[in-house]
Amino acid sequence: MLHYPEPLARLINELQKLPTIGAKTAQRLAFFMLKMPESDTTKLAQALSEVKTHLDYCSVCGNITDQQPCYICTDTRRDRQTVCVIEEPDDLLAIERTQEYKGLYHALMGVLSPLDGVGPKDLRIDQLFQRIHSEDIKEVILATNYTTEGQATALYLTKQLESLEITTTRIAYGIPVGGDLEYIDAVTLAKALEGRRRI
Amino acid sequence: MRLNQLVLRNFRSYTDCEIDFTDRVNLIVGENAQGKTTLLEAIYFLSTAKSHRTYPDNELIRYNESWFYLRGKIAAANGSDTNPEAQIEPLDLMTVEVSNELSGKKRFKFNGVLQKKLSEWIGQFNVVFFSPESLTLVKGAPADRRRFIDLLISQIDSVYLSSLQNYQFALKQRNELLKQIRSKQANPDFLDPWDDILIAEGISISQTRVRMFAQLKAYVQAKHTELTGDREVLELKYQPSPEKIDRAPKQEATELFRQGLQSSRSYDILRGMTAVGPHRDDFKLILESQSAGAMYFQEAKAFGSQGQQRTIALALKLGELELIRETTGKTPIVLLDDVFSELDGERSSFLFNLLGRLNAQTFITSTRQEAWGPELGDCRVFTVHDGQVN
Repeated sequence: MLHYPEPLARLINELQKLPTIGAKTAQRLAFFMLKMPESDTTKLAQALSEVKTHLDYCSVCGNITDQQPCYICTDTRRDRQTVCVIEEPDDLLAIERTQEYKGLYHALMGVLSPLDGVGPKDLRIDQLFQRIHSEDIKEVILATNYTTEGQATALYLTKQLESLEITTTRIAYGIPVGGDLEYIDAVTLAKALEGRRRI
Repeated sequence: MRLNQLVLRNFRSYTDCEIDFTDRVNLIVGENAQGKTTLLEAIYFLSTAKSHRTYPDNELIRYNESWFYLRGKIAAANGSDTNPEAQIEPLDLMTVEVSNELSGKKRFKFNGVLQKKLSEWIGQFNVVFFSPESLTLVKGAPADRRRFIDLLISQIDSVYLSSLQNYQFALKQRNELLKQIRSKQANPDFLDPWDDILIAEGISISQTRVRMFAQLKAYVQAKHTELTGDREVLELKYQPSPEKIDRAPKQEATELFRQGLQSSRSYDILRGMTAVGPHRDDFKLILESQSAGAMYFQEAKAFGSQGQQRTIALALKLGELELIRETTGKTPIVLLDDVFSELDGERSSFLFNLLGRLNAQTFITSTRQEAWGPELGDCRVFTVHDGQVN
């Protein structure tokens, strides 16, 4: 049995904990790091530790942030009467990329799924209602995924929001922009027909 | 549809085998345990991506091997179904391939292109399979009859399959939630969103089933009359859950379903299971017979003889064929496994006659060659011995 010196073995072991990194890749990365100039390894180590010490979830919307609250929640130019409810913080980045949406966000940090033991108390739903009560919110956009759980979560929130004097909307689904009808799967097309709109 | 050629590699008892079939009747003859049914199973697998014997797919791999591979060359033969003499266009030819590894990795190719979704696969190439296990359609549990209806509709309606998958997933979630409510870990209000999904998908499932069942019923009754020489009448009755949902328009049906879920909620929580919904549908098969001037109505499940039950199962399968032919314009391939073994001489000859008129490519297995009637017309005989075909 071949033994690596202890510090190298420890590095390989830590790298292996990362997703998609197996024993071989971990070994290659570790040997590569051995050859790196010390200035680079120091920068890498610093970046790694700062990600944990400097970044956190925004206490208001759940976005990944280095300031509390995050840059979106503190931006006064944004439409502060609209909140878009999303499953995870990375959905926020997807919507931001559209540059269409100028309102605020609220990440639930998951979806309802009894099979995974996730109920309403395990999501950031109470925080959403606190925001609605304390901030001047007029519209809630439900942008959870069109999966069974995402849909159940949207339906649950719709019911909870019913009694409040705000507008609740759900993002539309159907044919992708630039999509050729011929190539769209039958289920999506059937749903798009069902959800057709007068123009 | 015509299966022109079948290739099996490492599939059960077959090592490497290539067979060319005829357009009409293919008789597969051999002793027990030689691989006759395996040929039908392979054709079925190409069509549905699973085995009719419901083993895990790994058990289909030849002993001591790590994968199997199947390939079928199929002519969709749009023109030739109504006109058998018509030339088959090269465009109608398609190749379907399935491979499965021990790891459970299954791959489907359609005309050489890898298919990602099962729903895109099913329905490309349709078969109707009658096997001794088909008797469960008459004798078995409601789940067996639902599976028959579901697989039938999935073959012709891909939206149905997606609704069914969503419904079953939401049902699983709801049942888990019911158990959590029972042990006071969750609030009964949490059931509402899952109920909404069950209702939305359930109504669409229910309405499709009822519509299809009405069509199927007419075909099954006609086939049953042919198979019994007009001596017995078969009545089929759909029993939806909740009751009467089949006769209500959409709006009313939604309300009925909602009320059903509401009123069984406390019972559901107690049992940790959902008591109402299309996952509880069933249909009844009733034989009407005349004897000494009086009419008798008997449920086939309890009172039918072996031969009568077999005839009904066969009528259901042949009705399935006509329904697929009607809705897709393509005639499925007929697979009959050991079909004559429990029919008397008269019923066998009714069946020969019917098959002769069916105008579908047919595969029949049997242990004896002399049992075949002349009514079948053109046929090619294949002898199977120890995983080899002649």
